[in-house]
Amino acid sequence: MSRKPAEDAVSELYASCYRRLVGVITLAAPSRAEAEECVQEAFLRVLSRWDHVSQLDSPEAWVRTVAFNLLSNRRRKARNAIRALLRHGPPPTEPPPSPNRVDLTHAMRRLPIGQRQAVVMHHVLGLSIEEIARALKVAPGTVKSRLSRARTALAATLREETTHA
Amino acid sequence: MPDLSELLTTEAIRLQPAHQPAFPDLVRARRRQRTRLIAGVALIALAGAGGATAFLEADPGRPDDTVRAPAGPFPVTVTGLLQQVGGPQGTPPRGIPGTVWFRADDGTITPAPTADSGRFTITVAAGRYVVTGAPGGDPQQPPTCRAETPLTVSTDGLTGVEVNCHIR
Repeated sequence: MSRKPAEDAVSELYASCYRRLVGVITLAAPSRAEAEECVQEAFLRVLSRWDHVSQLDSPEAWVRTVAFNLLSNRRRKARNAIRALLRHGPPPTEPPPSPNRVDLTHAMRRLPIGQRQAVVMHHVLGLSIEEIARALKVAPGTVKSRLSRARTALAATLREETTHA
Repeated sequence: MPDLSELLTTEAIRLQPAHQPAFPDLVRARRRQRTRLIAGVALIALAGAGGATAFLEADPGRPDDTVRAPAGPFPVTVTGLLQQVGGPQGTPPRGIPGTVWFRADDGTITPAPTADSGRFTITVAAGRYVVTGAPGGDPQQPPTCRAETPLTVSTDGLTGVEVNCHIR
């Protein structure tokens, strides 16, 4: 497929699911700015692989998996993020949660990134243990363990924050 | 504990951004990034081969009294845009008024003022040029903007030249 039709097709996909993907990835990311960077990079990677991705049942799922992987990789490349911060200034502030709600985002960000990814993939995207294991390239037992630990930690944090609310 | 899936799904919706950058802008930004990378690699290779001196000599720096009308028997038209790039993520390039300078290999510098939109048209002889620019109306100010790589203008002319002023 030539570059222009691929760009048009990816642009259409981007318009239809960018915001949704950013919302989901933000749950597992340190900030929405970082989530947006990962999602944008994932869409740019689709361009060069559109011949393959366009044949998949869900191109959106492919973009989402790439964005999740990029997020993991970024932890190992934190220096680049610091450079970007210096270049662009601080990221825009996110809308605060309403005061009468539990700050779920805050609770999520206290989890290690592997646990956050597992929680989002399982509880938001409805992926099975095996699907998550494939996407994250880890053993199914690791996914189960991460989910179990995350649920325990979240339950404790949410109870604590509900009590203090 | 409340239903985790429901809570997370609601949270994911709340965290969705209100706006998104246009996809073509992302693609353009990526291409510029690649061009810069290629230029950087070429410069390193050039320096390694001992050719850095020649490259640096081609850098026009501040325009001086050598500015004059284009020489050469076959003048052709080149069009392009002086634009501001960078800033917060998602900010698209924006055309800005100013001046651009085309410096030929023989040292000839040809200036061209841009329109308010940043667009410019210049007539030069076919050849190789280092293109720089500066925002604002003072043609004597030092160039702070430049095209990513030296341009080769053929006898057919050239369109779509981008002279970038990076926001730091």
